[in-house]
Amino acid sequence: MSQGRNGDIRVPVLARVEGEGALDVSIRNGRIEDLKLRIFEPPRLFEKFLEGRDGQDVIDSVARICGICPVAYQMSAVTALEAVCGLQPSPWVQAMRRVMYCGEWIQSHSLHIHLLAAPDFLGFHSAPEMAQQYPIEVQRGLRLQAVGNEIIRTFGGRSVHPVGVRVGGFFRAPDTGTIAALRTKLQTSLVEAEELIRWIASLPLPDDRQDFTCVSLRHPSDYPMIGDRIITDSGLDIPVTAFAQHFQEQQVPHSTALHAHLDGSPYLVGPLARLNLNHDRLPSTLSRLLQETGIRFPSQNMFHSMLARAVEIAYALQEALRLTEDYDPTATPYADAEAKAGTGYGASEAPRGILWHRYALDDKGHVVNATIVPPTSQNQARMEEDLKNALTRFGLDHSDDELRLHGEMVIRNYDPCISCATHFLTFRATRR
Amino acid sequence: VRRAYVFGLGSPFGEDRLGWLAAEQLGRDLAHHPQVVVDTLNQPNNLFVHPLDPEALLIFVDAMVSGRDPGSVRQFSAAQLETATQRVSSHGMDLKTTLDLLTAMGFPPAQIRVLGVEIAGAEVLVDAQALPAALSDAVQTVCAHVESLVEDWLSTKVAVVKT
Repeated sequence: MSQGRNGDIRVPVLARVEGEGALDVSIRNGRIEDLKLRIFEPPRLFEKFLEGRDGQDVIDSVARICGICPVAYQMSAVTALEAVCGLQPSPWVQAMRRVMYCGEWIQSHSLHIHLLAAPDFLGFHSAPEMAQQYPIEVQRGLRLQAVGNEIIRTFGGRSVHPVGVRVGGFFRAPDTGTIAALRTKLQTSLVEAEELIRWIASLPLPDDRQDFTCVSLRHPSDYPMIGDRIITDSGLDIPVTAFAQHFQEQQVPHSTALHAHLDGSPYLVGPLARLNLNHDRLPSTLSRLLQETGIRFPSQNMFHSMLARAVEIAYALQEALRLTEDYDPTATPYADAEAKAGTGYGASEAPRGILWHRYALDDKGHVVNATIVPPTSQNQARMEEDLKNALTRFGLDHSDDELRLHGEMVIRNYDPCISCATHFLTFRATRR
Repeated sequence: VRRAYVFGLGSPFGEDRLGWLAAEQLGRDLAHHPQVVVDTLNQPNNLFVHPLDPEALLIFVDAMVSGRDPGSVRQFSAAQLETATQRVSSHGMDLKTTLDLLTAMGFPPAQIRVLGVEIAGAEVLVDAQALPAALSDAVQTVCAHVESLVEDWLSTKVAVVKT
């Protein structure tokens, strides 16, 4: 038992997460007295940079907030901007935006599973170390990531900070030959993604069941990517326009990224929350495959996030194939929109969870003010709550190194993008 | 049959497009070799989209900043790439990390070549159509170098180990 244990633990550098920060844990009389996920990177002030800029500047600028989820930023922004001018994108545009979004899920989730999280569960310090013993699995993961990037490049010109999105649609439509070649790769990748689900389900994932509130978008018929309703497993069902009435952002002294609460309590966004709330939207083939693994959703085991990511990779591949099946390159890949004054809201499911944007525009369509709520900042309070539960259950009598590693594993499980929320992590624990 | 993969790294803009320009030319020049794959990549790890043969020759062409004269071409082995060139990001995989993963997965480092073309001091506007002469010439130089490496590789007989 850890009864009576006091002291400090510090992780000077937390590896395999995006950005910089610190984790401080104080243990007194065998209990966690205080735990802080410190984010100390200066605020990046993107919302302020956007003031005075037009719609295209916004779309291209917000993509620079993140190297791995630029599509999410562009889609949330363009949805909000189109809402102001009352523009409803064509069915072709809506479908191809969804395909592009599939690319982002595939590449982001594949990177996280294979290079950031899996080494934890298999006892390796790094992805190259794991690749020596699991070359087939790592290569498969990197192939999946590359296919995701190829989808983004097809619609955005390049996979990092793509430039193809505009208000009303895309600057150009990919030709049929490009889509046909892409579909061949997607079909091969789908088989690999199904193998990936089985592999993840077979890994020794810790059993760490916790109580938490899941929050995600909800689509009338499909698994959610871009949407206009937000739901929770506690029964909330609101339009994205009402987000700020229920979700409160607040500053805490130890973080330059804002914390978010739902009616005063932490909540979870991201792949596990999405799958928990939307598993009924999966295609039947995927539901059956998931059932075969023996792991049931909704799940309260936070470490099932990795399986949720694998499921979403397979879903995204299926969805991209479905939406490009009878691909016809439209002559009108975009619709023109007239600038209008007003306030617009947009939300989409970034790989790490809901990404909510609000823009107030003047009559020239220039930004008067903007609010961007990224998923990692929404998950920060939940991560602290999870760390307290997980470290206590793991056992505070473990050595500092073991506690440090477990803490890092819990944090990496969220795939936090602190660069988005603002950046990451040294770990320091105080035992008294 | 010996295979080779040639990857031009970069983006469509400015001097960063040197690797892509070289790959586009090499795609034409080496088109008569069906066992050679040439592609443009804007992230090195996107090479995994190809079904890579671990016995193949891998060549990467990229713009570099090393303080040499603009247009200078330098060849590196995988081991010669400095760790310092790695980006401090877990969400972006640079060339060094990609090569580390390749070698960990059994791709022999001796069959990996990196060709850098110096761009420092030759600033090119992002939307400029024409490159300065030193960089245009360098594209030709690096293409000739890659073709020579590929031809040598393809003409060398595969050693057959009898057991």
